[in-house]
Amino acid sequence: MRNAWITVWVCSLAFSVLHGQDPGVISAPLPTPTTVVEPAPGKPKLKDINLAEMKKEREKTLKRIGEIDAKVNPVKERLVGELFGLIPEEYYALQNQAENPDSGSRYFPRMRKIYFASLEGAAIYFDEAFEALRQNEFWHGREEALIQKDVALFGMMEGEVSVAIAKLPNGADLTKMIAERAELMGKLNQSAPLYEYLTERRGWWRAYPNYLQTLEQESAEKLQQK
Amino acid sequence: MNIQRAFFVSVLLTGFLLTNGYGEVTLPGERKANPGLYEITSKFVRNMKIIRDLTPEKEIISQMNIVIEQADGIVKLYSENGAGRKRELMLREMKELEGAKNVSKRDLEKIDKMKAEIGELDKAGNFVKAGQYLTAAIGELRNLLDQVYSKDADRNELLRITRTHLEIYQYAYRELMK
Repeated sequence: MRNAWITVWVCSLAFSVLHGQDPGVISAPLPTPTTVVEPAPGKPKLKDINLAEMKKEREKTLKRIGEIDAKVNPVKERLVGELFGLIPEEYYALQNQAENPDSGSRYFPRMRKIYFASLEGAAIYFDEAFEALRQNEFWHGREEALIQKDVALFGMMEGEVSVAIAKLPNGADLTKMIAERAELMGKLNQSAPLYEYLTERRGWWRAYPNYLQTLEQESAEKLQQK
Repeated sequence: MNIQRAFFVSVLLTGFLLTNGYGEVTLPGERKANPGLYEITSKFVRNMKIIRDLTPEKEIISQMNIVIEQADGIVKLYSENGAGRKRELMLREMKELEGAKNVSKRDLEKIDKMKAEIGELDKAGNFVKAGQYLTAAIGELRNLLDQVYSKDADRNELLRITRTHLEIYQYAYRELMK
């Protein structure tokens, strides 16, 4: 009986040493949490979105769009050349204008850099400004109108190119791929703002927890000044 | 014979009109690959005249007239005996030679010779003086534009266009006169 007690004591001692406890001190078992701790009021818990999966999905979509483009674009390039006399770069610029709504707002500041980069750029600016001024069109109205015109032009051209593609021997396959691309682009554009927010701005907000408060304070001060 | 002569004269006349007076063919609507002071200043004057006609403030209009007059003076000076073009080509060549990694003794001699020729082309220093007057006139116009406040979007846009014209012309002028 005594040997049994000694064995139990030795085992307990060994267990305590192995788990970093002071031998001889008998510790009470830790209480296991039975309820989930609620977040503090005013701080809503963020929904756990699998960003890695979202990123993977986007990459997969972009890869497929690239595959389709590699097959369809050479045919489109040839057709826009034949039908409208456009070089591929012109066609892609119009496509970019139509598919990315903010490309127009990026285009004009970029143009401003070109105007200041060389004498050719300065001459381009003077010619473009002359055309606009002569038609009594000011830049802000003209930029918006030009983007809308380009988007409409691209839509019209896409329609005619699709008709020409359908007439080709492999037209059915290409048409199917074009439809798939449009669907994928729609999906991509739909998820783009959320993806951008989660990958860029949320991090920024987290880095500046007092941002909203500062903003409110500033606007209140401005209102008071008025 | 008369028809042949008329054809010959018309070809010569068309050719002269297209060459812009400098032996370089520029078709209507075509943009020159390497625009010089003449092209840039002519375009600037052309646009400034439209901007002036759209501007409501009398004080600004009169300052714009001074700028247009000075810039027009540069265009005329440039056209006299083709001196402007010669000067510009030499300045470009000089810039290229000076910008080269290894400037040889021969190049340095060439640069000195060109500097002397440029001086000969403009003995009275009219180009430099005209440039100084124009820069001062543009500076004054920019000061006046900074004093204009408007709630009208179109007016503000025209002010922005005017400022951009002045900025771009000043940049181009500096580049050409280096």
